[in-house]
Amino acid sequence: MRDGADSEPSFVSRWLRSKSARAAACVLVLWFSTALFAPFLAGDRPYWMRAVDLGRHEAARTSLEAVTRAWVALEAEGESAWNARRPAHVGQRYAEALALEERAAFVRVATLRAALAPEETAAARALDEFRAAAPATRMERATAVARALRPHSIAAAAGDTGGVRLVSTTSTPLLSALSGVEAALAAGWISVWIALLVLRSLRARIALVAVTLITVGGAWRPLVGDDTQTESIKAAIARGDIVVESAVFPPLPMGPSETHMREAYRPPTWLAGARAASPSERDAGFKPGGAVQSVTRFEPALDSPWRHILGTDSLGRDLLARLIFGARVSLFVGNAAAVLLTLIGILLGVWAGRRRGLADFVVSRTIEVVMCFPGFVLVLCALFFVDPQSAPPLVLVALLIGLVGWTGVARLVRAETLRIRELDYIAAARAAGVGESAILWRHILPNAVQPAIIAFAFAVGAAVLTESALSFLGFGVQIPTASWGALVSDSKSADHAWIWVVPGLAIFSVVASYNILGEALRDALDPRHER
Amino acid sequence: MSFVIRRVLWMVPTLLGITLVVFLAMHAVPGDPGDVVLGSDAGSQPGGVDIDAAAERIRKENLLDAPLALQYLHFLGPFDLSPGGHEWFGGSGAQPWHGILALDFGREFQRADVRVGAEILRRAAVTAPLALAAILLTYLIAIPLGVWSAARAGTRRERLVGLLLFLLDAVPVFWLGLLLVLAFGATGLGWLPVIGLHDKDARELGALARIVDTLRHALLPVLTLTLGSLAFLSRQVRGGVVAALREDFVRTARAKGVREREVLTRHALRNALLPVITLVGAIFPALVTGSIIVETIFDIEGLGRYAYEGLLARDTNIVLGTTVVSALFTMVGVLVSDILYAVCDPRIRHA
Repeated sequence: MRDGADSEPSFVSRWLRSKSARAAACVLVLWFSTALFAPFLAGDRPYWMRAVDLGRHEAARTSLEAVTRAWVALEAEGESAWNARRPAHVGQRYAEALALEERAAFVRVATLRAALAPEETAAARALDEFRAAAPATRMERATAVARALRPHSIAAAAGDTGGVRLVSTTSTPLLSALSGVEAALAAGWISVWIALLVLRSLRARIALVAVTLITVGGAWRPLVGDDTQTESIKAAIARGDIVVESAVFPPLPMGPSETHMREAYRPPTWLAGARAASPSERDAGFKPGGAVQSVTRFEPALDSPWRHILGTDSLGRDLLARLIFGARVSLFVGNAAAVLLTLIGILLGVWAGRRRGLADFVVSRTIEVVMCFPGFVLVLCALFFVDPQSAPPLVLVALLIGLVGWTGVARLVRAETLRIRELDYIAAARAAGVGESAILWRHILPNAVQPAIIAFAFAVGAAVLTESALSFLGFGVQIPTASWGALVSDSKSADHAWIWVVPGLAIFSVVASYNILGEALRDALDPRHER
Repeated sequence: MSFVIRRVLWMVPTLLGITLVVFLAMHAVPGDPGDVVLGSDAGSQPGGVDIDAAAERIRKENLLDAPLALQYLHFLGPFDLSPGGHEWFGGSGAQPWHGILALDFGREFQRADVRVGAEILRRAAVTAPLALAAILLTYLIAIPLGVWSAARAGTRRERLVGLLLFLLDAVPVFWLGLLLVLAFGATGLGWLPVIGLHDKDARELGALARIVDTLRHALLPVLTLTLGSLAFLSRQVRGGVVAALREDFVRTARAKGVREREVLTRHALRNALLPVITLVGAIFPALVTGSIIVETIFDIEGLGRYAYEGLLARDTNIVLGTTVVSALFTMVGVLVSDILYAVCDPRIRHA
């Protein structure tokens, strides 16, 4: 196992020898892919869109005058007057303030120009004149731009003639909204598979994945721009603020927190309620007397049984979208907590086992005390009383589960260390003059860690269960973040069983897979173990 | 006997450690509990003056302004150190006892006339029978199941049962409870009630009918708790019996012609049973977790639900009380199983 490239494939094949282990590995790979590519699978931001962003154009046009006024005023005030007025705690210099105002104006000019049709030369000239204007005439020019760049459709709606024609621009809203970490992890996940399929040596594989993570993570924001606006694009389309020529939405064009109040408690596709004949009929079925809500042409029609495949919850949120995003919470908390508790367990276990004496006494007693606790209750208390602002809830949950759950691993590792240190080969190494630290790192640790690796797989499953139970009680991640446990708790009623049956199955599939892989790992690492 | 004494004495530092951890966990939060509990809603609720008075009472009764060490002593008991406390410590003597050692955790924050200790006792009287029934049922199912699995180890049917138990381990308890409600409640087969422990009109029923009513109500919660730890326990039984079946004394027994059934029960099971008994202690924490969830699902006014309510109300007294009591339960469970072990197996006593 430690020899690298040669023995590593044989270890994996020994590990995944049984059919059930292979199935479990497949399930986990699927869930990991789902979690990492969640925004690509479900969401209301298109991958690619060719559209006139009227809303953005109008926002830039109508605010240009105000921005210019502030800029001109700042220029007129002059540096000394500004310095006198500036509060002591503001560290900004006059030149910086000026540059900011200038940028604010020119960003709007760039936005206005981007959507302008090429034949609108008069409007383009107005923009150019604004850019080149002297401070004295700048305000005047801004007013001229605001007047000249009124879009054709807006003018027509107001009963006027004229107005400029706008052309569609291309954008990638999904990619620009992705954070660097999300992008790096998604790309890293792909690179793992490329590395496994193409590269042979372990070192090259690790290098490829590391390089992918670092470059994508570092270059993402600078490359794709910074479009962190959270406003729903579909809502803008429905309002007419965005006029779409063409767009490619994710397969499930609905976000995890997108509410459709009129479609609350809509049954999933496989239940009879999802197939009502007409929208009004079905709508009446869900909310008596409710009117049909407008839908964009990019999502399934309101009366299509395929609109919400897994149904909706009490707020009409699409459960499939929530299930997909909930995978992120469960997998992150499960793995992070398990890594943490395994590390703590190994550290304390080896320390206690090697030092014995006082260290052993302290660790053993601490284990005894912590084991007496219903750890769940402790996590529950801590979660409720810790300031939610102090850390992201997701991290907090993982941290607490890790801090409470390390005792099992510590006990295993301690016992193994105690056993190993009495073995002949340690005595032989010592007799041969090997140093104490080398004995620890080379001879004791690699062997004592073995039970901890097996325990890790089971710990992930246990942590996923704990997280889901916490979320079920309402103490896990905060709303509106989707978490499988929270999905179950949304309706505990048997009347809306579809809301909680599927997330429960998801939790079960992940936990069972980790347990099966743990069992298979035990068989592979420890042939003596009796099944 | 000295083993038992030693073991009980060991509980003291362990208990101190537990209380210290709980206490510090509660007080490590930024701001003090008094503010957390009452400060935030002081303006939003009608009668803000009352709430200020309540906050004042809570700060005084729980010594929230005193140094941490003093607060801990107050929390530990048995003397009440607050102004209304024991005369020895300058109190008025109105409420001399307080803290864990006096089994008194002060009053609830919101219902000032309810003492947390008394309420815990009342709620424990609901939870304890459920938990005990669950433990009993778990053992009653797990031991025969484990022995059967060990005797039939490797056959197709045994492997199927083993697989099912393995999968049962991965099922979230709350989901299991909801599935049982779905299957046996009014929307499913309609066999069993799924809310509370008594019918609305239970008072009007005769004695026998009342017992039947309670049993019918308790069946699903107990079953949920049981299924939560069944897989773990039966796997332990199976492992123990399989190991025992390989021992020399089993071979001897078989050689002298003892029937297979006798070999299993008399020789293998008896030896495998010992470690399984000690697992009572290991099941306890799972039961505490389970009772919070089960009592939430089935709407039972038990201890777990009380802890949950305390958390929702941000009531430190309730949370501290229920946490300490559940830890105490667990410790006593471990202790009892250790003593049982020692009684059954003389080697332990002299080790």
